[in-house]
Amino acid sequence: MARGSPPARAARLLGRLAGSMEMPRDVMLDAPRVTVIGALQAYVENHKGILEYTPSRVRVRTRDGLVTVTGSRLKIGRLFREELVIDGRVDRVELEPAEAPGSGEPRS
Amino acid sequence: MIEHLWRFLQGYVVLKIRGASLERFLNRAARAGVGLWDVERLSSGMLVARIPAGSFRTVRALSRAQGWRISIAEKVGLPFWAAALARRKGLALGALLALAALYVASGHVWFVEVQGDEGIPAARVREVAAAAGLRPGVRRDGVVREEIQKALLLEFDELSWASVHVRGTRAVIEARLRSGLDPVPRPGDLVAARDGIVEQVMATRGHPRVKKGDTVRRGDVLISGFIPPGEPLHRELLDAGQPPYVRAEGIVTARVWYEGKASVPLLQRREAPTGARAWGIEIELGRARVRLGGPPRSYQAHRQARRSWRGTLGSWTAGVHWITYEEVELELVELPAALAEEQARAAAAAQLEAEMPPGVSPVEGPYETVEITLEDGTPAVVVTVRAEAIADIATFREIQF
Repeated sequence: MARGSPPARAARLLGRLAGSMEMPRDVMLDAPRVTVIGALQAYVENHKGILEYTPSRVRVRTRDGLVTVTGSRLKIGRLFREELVIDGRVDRVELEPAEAPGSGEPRS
Repeated sequence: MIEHLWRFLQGYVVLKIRGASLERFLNRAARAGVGLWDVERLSSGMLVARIPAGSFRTVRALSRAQGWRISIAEKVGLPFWAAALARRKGLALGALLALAALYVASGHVWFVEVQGDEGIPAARVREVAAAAGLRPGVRRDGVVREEIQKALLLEFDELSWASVHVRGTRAVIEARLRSGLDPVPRPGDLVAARDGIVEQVMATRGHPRVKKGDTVRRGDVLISGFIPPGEPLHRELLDAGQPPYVRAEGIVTARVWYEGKASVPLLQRREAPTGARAWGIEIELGRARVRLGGPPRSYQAHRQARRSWRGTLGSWTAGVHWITYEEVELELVELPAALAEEQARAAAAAQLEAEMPPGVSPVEGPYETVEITLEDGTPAVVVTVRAEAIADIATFREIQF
């Protein structure tokens, strides 16, 4: 069984710690949290940057992979360091897991 | 809502960002601590975003470094308004001046209105009010209402009442005409209101017909409204195309008598209840009345008292009356002459006082006479009190043509 890179090992350790202490994992692990309000809004916390923004698709990098919001007339209602609000008509939200450890880091 | 208000108070700019890979621009700005909102992609090479006005320098610096072109499409919020106002000092000054002018103007009276009865000479009332200090343009707090009311009542005999009140920039004068006063004086005489001997005649208008020492009787003409042909006014009136009549005015004082008279019988009837009582009932239906029971024939005299219950239905009245009869004995009581005289004197004096008009005091008297007479076969003391006074006896009587 592969033991993984040092950051990945640390993340697994933190995850186990958070689970045993019953603490919210997103807080402990910097894990992304996506909230969808009806078909009107998608709320992404702990994002690592926008990879693509068009009126029909927004791709957002997170630690655990790529979150893709598709829909129509999409716009960025709010963009702060760790918080992103996507307004418009939301049809679909997908999480594409990271292929390799560390791929969640923003490149820009 | 709060967020919108906060953004407005802080001020924000609407930016247009042009260039390639604008997502990177958004990420960089967010990482630099700039909050963005309402970001929209207008085309593949252009974004619109809103940022706080204070973050503009940061955004400009990072876009210059990376080759993005940014421009401000709109500046929104309080700081920009304040700056615009500060630049346009003339506008701000004008607004301030307008406010000040409004404030000053609202402290003045700009309209004077006359309200009240028909026939009030509004134009002249305004003139008099203006002379007394109420005219368009005066300060509201400089208007002394009592002064203006006094001036109006002094100037216009025909007014019985006047009031002034200021509402906003409008002053309203309300006035009432004296009731029963002819706007056009009708000719008439001054005649004697009572008998007397003339003391003084002062005719301010009209032809005097009596002189000092004349005895006049009630109704006699004292000052005539007819101007006889011998007087110059007669000619003047005729020349003016008017009949030779005026409304007589003046004062005619005369020595007049006032009298108070009272009698008190020396024998007085008195009713003394014997204690005997009887009852009766009376039934009333419309105009018909039926009485049951009554005072016994044996009663020499009686008094009665009744309690009634009545009701009406349309024009119909129905009632029941309960009557109590009380037997009395009539007796004659003799009153001491001195007591009777005293009572009569007091009653006569009171009558004399009531007779004399207020403000007139006797110049001679009062004289009194005491007599004993028979009134309806009963002796009585009669006291008459007379006083002489000088009073104006002239009263107006219209000439009937």
